[in-house]
Amino acid sequence: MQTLIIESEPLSPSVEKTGKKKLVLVGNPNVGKSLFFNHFSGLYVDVSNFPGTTVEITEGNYKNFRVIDTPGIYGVSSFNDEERVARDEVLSADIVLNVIDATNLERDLFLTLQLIDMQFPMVVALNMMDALEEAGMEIDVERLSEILGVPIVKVTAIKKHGFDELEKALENATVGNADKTLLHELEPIVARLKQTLNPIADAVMILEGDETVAERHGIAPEDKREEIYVARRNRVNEIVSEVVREKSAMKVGAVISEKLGKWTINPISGIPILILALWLIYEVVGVMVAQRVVGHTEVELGNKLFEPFVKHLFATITPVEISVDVLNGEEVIETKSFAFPEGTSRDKAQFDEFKAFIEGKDVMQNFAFSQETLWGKIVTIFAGEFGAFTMTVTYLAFLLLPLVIGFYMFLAILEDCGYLPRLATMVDRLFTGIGLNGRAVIPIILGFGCVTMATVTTRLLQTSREKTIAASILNFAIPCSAQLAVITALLTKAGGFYTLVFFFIILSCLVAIGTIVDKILPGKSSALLIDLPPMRLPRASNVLKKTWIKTKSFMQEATPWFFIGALLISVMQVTGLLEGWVKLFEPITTHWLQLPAESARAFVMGMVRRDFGAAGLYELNLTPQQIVVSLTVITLFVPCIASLMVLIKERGIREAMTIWAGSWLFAFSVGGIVALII
Amino acid sequence: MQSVQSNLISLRAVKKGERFIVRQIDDKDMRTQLLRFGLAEGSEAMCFERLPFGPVVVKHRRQEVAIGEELTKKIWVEVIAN
Repeated sequence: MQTLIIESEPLSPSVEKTGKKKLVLVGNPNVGKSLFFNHFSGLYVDVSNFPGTTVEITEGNYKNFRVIDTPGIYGVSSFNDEERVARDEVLSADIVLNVIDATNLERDLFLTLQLIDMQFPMVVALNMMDALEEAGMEIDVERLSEILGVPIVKVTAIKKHGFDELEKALENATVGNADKTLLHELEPIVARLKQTLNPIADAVMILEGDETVAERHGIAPEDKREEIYVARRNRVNEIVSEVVREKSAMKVGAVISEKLGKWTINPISGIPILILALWLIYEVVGVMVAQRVVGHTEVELGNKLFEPFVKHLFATITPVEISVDVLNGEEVIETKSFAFPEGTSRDKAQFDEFKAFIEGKDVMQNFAFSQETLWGKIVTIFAGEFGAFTMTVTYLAFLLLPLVIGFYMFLAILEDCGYLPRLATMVDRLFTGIGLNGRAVIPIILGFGCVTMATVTTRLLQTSREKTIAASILNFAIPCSAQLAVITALLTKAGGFYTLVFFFIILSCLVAIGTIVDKILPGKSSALLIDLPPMRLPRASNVLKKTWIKTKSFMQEATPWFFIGALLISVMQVTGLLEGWVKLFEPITTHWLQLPAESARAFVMGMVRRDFGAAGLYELNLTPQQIVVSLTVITLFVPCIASLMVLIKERGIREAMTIWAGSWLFAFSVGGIVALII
Repeated sequence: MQSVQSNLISLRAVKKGERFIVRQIDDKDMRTQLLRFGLAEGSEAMCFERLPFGPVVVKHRRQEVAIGEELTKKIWVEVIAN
């Protein structure tokens, strides 16, 4: 048995590389694992995508440990992307900190026993001791620790109880009491392994039939999973019946949580709860953030302060005409143009006059850089209407950032209180018809905020097939918040009947897209199988941390694509390609859609930012029928350039371009048919 | 599909509030996944909630698991008296 002892191993590769041991946090979903990670790593963490997947791994530092947070899993295996990522992080661990929910030992100990069978030096954190009390239960912790053979620390993570003891226990991490029969079966496999960090852990994976791990060692996987799982399940049940005692009846808190949990699933009470939640999101993110905050930051800070500042830098040496709108509230009360044929620095007198004119007034400055020289074109690319240094910065910092923070905060609250899996259960039926399951409700709802962000969130779906279907629905048929305001305004003009017609068209298209993609793609989507955690109050620290981590990682990922997108569009603008595109679509717009020629421009502009498209329509004088047709087209039309870029990254260039090109075709086909009918 | 004993009904047909013993699960992947949730062939559970044409929520000790309609057709249970 000598070969089976892990401590006799030389320094592990991860230690050699960084001089730090790798501490991996492992636990079932919703056991409060992130609170432990927060405690150990503080605020400064790295979020990265695991190579080859889109699952996020968070990493931080604590003393001489690299602390790795893994996605919540029910066992180490490879049923989905998250499990595969967690598996590889676990297999390379020097020490494992296994967080378990004291109120749910029967579920959580399954993973614990597996980790013990894999012979990692580990510590078990028995979390939610307060909830255990509420539930009227008691655990014989000493006995449990004796059976498992590893240190167990009682923790109430929300109240920060038990962290000191946990830190001490980490120094005494031990390898627990594995299943003797299993260890015996592992021996022949261990003998055949290549050099690896944790031979027994790898051998367990191979015996349980994990193909990837087996392939790494060049041997065939075994097929003992079910047998091992049944044995492990039986041991868990034995342990639970030995150490858990029902002490008293459930306390009020636990009863309320159970009742509330029930109400959220039952449609009769669940639908009003959902409506309430959506209304709250709409009021806070849609009205407060999108209209008030963004209205202020985008216009006041972005358009009036930041952009003119950048543009003036370029204007000093570039021929430009600056037209100034003097504003009184929303209204333009005076307009005056100043021409600087050789840049503002060469014409002091004119520039002084300009400065005197805007002095003390609320103004919007519009810069038209001369495009006669190559320099002028370059300036337009970087600081023009869609300039990478102007529009993109305003868009990212003053419009997108507040919105993304708002949405992620709500997502974190809903996630933290245990509502999302229940919502997924309630709406599951609606999604099975279009090749998805209830989990897809989250990206779809987020889509009404920002399709780019929602496309990133399709990661939480379990199979590539479902991700494709959800990404298609999002990018074809969901209007994002940038459009919603203009759509609402135009529909008010069109009246109630046409509003209903519009909703009917878009809903049919959404269902049609889902059904068609579901039919085309080979295979079958997975049915819902989801564990419902108890409802509880969201914890502020957790919500803030999650919001911060998610926002940071989204902004990091999306920012380069927004810049690239802006560069592309600006180049198209200065080379005349954009205008050419508008011209190309004019005949289709006037003849096939029966809309004024100018709406072609609005559609093409929608490629850049979806609200550009929608706002362009607002200026035109359209009949109610034309409003329905044009709104149908812009809603079904291609996603904005940033969404497209993220879509390429998430789903690959082939799928992204299929969706993008398909949107042109679909939007104009459906638009034309609607124009013919109404 | 495997043969099913005559006293068994599919989870699809269990009424809300009824207690039952899981006797047979016809899908290998689901069998292993449910094992991890604590629901094995032989374990006792209760139908906690069922949605019209939708998932069935099963409660097993303190654990609630929502099982999509497709999967409920593959789980065979024996209803027991309360």
